[in-house]
Amino acid sequence: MIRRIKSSDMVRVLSAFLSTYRAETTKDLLIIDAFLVFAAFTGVVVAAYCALVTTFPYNSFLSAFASCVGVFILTLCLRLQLKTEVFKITPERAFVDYLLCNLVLHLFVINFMG
Amino acid sequence: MKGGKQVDAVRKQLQEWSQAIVNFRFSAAKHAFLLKILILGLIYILAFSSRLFSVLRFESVIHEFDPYFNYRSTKYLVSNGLYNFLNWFDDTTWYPLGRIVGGTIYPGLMFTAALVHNFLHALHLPVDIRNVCVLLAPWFASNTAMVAYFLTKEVWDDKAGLLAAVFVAIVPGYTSRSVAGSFDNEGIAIFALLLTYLLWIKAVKTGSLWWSCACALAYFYMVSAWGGYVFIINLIPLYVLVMLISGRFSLRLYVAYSTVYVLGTLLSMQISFVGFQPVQSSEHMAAMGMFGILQLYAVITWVRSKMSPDHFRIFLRGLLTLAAGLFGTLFVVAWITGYISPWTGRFYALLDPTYAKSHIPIIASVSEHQPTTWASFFFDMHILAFLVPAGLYFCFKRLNDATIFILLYTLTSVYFAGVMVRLILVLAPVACIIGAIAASATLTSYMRYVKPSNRDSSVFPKEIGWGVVGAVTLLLIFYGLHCTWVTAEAYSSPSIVLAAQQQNGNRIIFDDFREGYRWLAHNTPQHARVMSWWDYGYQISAMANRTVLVDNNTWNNTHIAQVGKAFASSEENAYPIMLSLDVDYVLVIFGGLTGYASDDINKFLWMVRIAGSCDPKIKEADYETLGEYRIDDKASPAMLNSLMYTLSYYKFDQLQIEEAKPAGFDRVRNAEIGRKGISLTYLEEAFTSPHWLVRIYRVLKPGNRAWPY
Repeated sequence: MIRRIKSSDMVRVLSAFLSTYRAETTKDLLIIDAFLVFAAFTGVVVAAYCALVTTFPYNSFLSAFASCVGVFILTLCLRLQLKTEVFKITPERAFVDYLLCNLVLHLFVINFMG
Repeated sequence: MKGGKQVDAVRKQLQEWSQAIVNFRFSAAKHAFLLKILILGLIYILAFSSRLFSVLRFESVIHEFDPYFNYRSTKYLVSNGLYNFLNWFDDTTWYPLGRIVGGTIYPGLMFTAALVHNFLHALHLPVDIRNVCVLLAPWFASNTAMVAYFLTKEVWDDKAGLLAAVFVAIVPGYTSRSVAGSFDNEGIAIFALLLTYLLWIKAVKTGSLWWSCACALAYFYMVSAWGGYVFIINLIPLYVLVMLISGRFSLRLYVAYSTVYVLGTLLSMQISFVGFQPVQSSEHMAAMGMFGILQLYAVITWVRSKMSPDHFRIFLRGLLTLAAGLFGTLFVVAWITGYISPWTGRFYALLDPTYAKSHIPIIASVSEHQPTTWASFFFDMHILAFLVPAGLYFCFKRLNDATIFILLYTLTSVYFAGVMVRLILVLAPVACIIGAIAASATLTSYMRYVKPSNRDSSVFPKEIGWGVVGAVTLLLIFYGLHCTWVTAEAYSSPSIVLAAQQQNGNRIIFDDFREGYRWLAHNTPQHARVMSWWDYGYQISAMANRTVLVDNNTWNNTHIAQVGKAFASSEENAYPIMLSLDVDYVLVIFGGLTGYASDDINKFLWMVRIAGSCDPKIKEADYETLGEYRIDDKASPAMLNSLMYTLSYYKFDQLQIEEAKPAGFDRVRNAEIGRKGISLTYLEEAFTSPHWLVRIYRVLKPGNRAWPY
């Protein structure tokens, strides 16, 4: 049965989701999630600047965007590794891997920025 | 008595020790480990030494054409340093255009060779750069065999790993591009390819950021090494897609692919030659699309676990509409504005093999780009040709993350190897891996009949076991013999030095090429410009150290067409072209005296075709008689008067090579030449090598009055 989605439906679904989420997440994961939102927001701002104002040093745009996306993905992976039991990795090891990947990422971001 | 007791104690101790030495047995695990180390060590030495035939038969010299450019670039890097190398503008090639070398090469090979050279010099082992370049590929082949062991160990087990290592060490498909002297990108690229795939499988199996980061760094090395990195960046997304479709999505896969894609793309753009292609060209769009789809899939999976089913249905529809709308418009806009460039000719020819013949004659003319014959498959892979399907069967029986990857790798490689002979190189390593899986699985199951453990009830007689094990062993022995023979006979020719057997069994060496280039280096002014067909450009640059017009890089089709037009026109019509290009010397390779079949007269039709692609007045039919390509008296006038004919057969009619044949008998075309008594007006003969392989002519400058005299 396919019926049109009303915006009120969507709001109801999203608010239910948000309340479940807030109930289930612990403090440290909330901090990581806030950082994720920040990284995503920065990425959107960078892309909007590129689209609206200028693409001119294109390599700088790419390195900035890659930095935002990279940090987002790496932090998300860290969050998954800390929370889910699928990975057989201790939290300390997960964190060290995360730092190493960030080091490699930012080394090349700075190199590519020009 | 105390002394006696001490002596007794000592004697008893000695007896214990001697008993321990006599009864010394490793535990089974230590035994296996030691055996593995020994076997791997022998494989390491085998891979290196089986590639040294040409060094033993001739000398330590760089082979073929492309390696000479790599050698010259490495010398430049070692003597001028990193920044000068990255900013190098070469004005001695593609006269008068020049070539931006720093931005148009894959620098991985030069960096690796320079690193090895500097490291050895830092240890005060002054190895010459030429020897480093010659022996780099065999050393990397040994390393590739080790990586193949670890890769197969991840996919199947260590027994299959050992077999894979020994297969990779000698498989002809790989040795053909990595013999000593073959200083080319493929020598290190195959190592980087297998390393990237090994680290990728480890990343997917563990889901750890450490392995994903290592995989991205190995991918960076691969991008710096070879243009074939496009294979990796399309196979990995294909693998992720297959995993998603077959319902094997897991968070480990998500972590692995996301990290590898983001880091890998950023890292690959550091190479100037690749530039912005990873975000702009069609060859990389699959990876980006897969990244988006994977994020979407992961979000949907996560949200589903947190919502009730009907809430989730509403959310899903909203999300999919939003995503489709957003990415759809972005993609369409990018495609229409031409931001996303279509597939380049080189890679498009892989999807549509008939494309190159009609549109890009230069790509079609390279013999390595022709489709593969069955004979080539057997020649280059021997028993692996039928072990590959067997290995596919075994992989299908044990489907997990790693075996699915190997299956996809095998199937895509088999397709590409069928399209282009050169790509058997990509098929060879994975054929070894999957062939090793087949052979090892067979041997393991039949060894159980030969030596049943306590758990098995030996239902089958021992003879069957011995029979099968014996047959497989025989196959492996034949493989070893074949591979060594192929490497020795077919793939160890330096091309720059030829050898032939005389009737009395003596070996004569034809060193004409190097003599010709050395003559140029010693007897021409420093700024002399040499016109030759593009095949010899790199060799002339490296050995003769003179300016050339066109070389093997073939980046400017029109310039090559100019040179082709000069060779296809008569001497009178070619002279203005040569003057306009400032040519001082013309170099021609002629094989009619020695029977060397890859000379310029045999390549002449390609010169006509390429020239005709830019100047419609030059038609291939003019140079043939009744559809046949001839050089005798029935050849067409355009052919007989062309500059190439003139320069190849000048004074050739004064030679009578054999008693039975007339003067001026061309050994390659097996015909007597049609135009005799050739005299030159605008050029003069400068040098002809002892066996007439290299012929160099000087272009005469116009005189002051009423010229030519």
